[in-house]
Amino acid sequence: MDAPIVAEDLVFSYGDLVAVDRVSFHVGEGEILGFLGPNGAGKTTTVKLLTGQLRPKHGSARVLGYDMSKEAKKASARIGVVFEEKNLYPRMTAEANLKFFAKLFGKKVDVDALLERVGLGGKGKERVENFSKGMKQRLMVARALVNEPEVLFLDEPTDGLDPVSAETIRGIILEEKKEGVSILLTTHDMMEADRLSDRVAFINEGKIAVIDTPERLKLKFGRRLLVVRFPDGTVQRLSLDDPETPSKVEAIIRQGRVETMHTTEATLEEIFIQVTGRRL
Amino acid sequence: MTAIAALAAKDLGEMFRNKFTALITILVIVVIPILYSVLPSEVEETMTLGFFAPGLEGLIRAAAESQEGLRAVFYNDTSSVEQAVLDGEVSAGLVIPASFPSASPSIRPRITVVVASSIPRGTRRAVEILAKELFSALMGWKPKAILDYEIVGEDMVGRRLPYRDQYKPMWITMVLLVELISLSFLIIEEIQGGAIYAILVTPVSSGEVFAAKTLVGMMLASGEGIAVLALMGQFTSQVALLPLTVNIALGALLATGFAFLVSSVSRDVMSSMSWMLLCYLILLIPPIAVVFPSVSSPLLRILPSFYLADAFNQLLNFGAGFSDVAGDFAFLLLADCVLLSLGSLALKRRFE
Repeated sequence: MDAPIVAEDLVFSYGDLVAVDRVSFHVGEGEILGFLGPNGAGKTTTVKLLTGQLRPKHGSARVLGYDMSKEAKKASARIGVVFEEKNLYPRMTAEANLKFFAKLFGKKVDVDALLERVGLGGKGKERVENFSKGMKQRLMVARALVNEPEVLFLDEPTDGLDPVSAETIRGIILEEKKEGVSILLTTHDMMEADRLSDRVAFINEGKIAVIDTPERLKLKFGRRLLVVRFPDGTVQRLSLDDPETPSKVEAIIRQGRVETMHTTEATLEEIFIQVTGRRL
Repeated sequence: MTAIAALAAKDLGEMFRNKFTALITILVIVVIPILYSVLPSEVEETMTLGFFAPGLEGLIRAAAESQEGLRAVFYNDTSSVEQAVLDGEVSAGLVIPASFPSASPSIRPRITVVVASSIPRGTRRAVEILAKELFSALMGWKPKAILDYEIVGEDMVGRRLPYRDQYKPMWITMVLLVELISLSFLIIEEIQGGAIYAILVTPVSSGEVFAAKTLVGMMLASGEGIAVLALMGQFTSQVALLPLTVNIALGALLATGFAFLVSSVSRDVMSSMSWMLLCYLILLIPPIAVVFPSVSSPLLRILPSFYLADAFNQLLNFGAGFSDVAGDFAFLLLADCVLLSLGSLALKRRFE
């Protein structure tokens, strides 16, 4: 049986500009795939292809077994989307926004509970135009959940948010994962991707450069180091993969001058730069 | 159907939550009936006639004085009378042959009535009655005179109407087409704000979105049209209500179709304002031509608003029925179908 989200050899271009170039991946049930890349890398276009907003020039986008270029409406009842832009109805109240979208899904929703869940309890009667950016983003997440989706597409859900709002949203993402929801999370926040994702895909110039678990990527591309800091401020870095390191560590400890000593591993950002040659 | 109802309810709510669209919607309902009520409700009672009647000036003057509502102005030749008619100095002209006084009841004198194309048929009829009354006073008997009409300029179909009734077709067309502005404004706002894309990733199809917007456009434009006509006191036994309702609905669809097209070509709210005003003003030219046929050009018949205004003119001012306006309805229906289809297709491309 297909994974809930399957992209196969996807190609899409805007005129001569190839935005998505032979992209293939899948997201399993209850899995979070972090889709990482700088602005303009093709993340949002990939999400649009997978949600049926765009039709691929080549390849196929399947969600819950449906071909999204032909049967998007069959799948859409079971998917939720958080857009990068704040596309709510600003003159409507938060409650009216959620109720309206619930009606489009033919669902009855406990608006108060949903608003409470995203940290907007008691704000249901307020017009969205009076909300802060973080509140709007949390309401967008709530909107994506009105139909209790099996698949979530989250396009930069915490971009530019205050730490509290971002943390609320990350918490919800992890809760949904626990419920078995398959999640495609696009972001250029490597720390977030590292913390939330089961696997990450690096996308650059429309192509997937690498896809794997964060741990394996760190093992494969990162250098494991032991960093020793001395009282005079000097730092010594020893490779954990060097067979002579244990004897060197023993010698340092014997000297008795060590202030701190800890291991470090490469960050996803460093690996991204190493793999793509570009900064995020 | 539930989705369409939800979308339509949302669109209606948005229309009234938006201060601009709410204002123009309410404004036309208030302003047009006020304008209608302040314009004269009766026609001018005194008619000025221009005469070229060699040797009869004294007699005519005396006879005119005895006729209520008639004023006589004399000219030296036929062409001066024609010019006076064209210049609007007189309502109509009468050219009476010098042999007229010698005419007897057995001889039918030929009198030329000069009328301008801008004078409705009702005025001609009034001129005819006044002329006969005048001759009756002049001769002592009512002549079975042969009245030869000389039309200066293009002929005009219609009757003499109070100014406010002449303007009715133009006003009601204006009211219906205002929805072009409101609806396209809302659509553009929805596209620019991105909310439409959030709708299109739900099970709702673009067809349902268009159906809801068409429904809202129809409801608002028709509602406004009916409200304005009611405030103007037009729902009388002299007006055929069913064809009038059909015309309102066809006009509302026309406004909706144009709103779709305008929205599809507008990049943002500002550019949509330019497009919608341009479209609105162009569509208002044919109704002006219906009110003032003398400025009419056959080219204006290309625009569907001509048929809308013409049908309103026939239905509201001349007691016309279905058969009289069937041609207008057929053209409007065709235009509505074409505009709605093209508009929906263009908007769908815009969404994608």
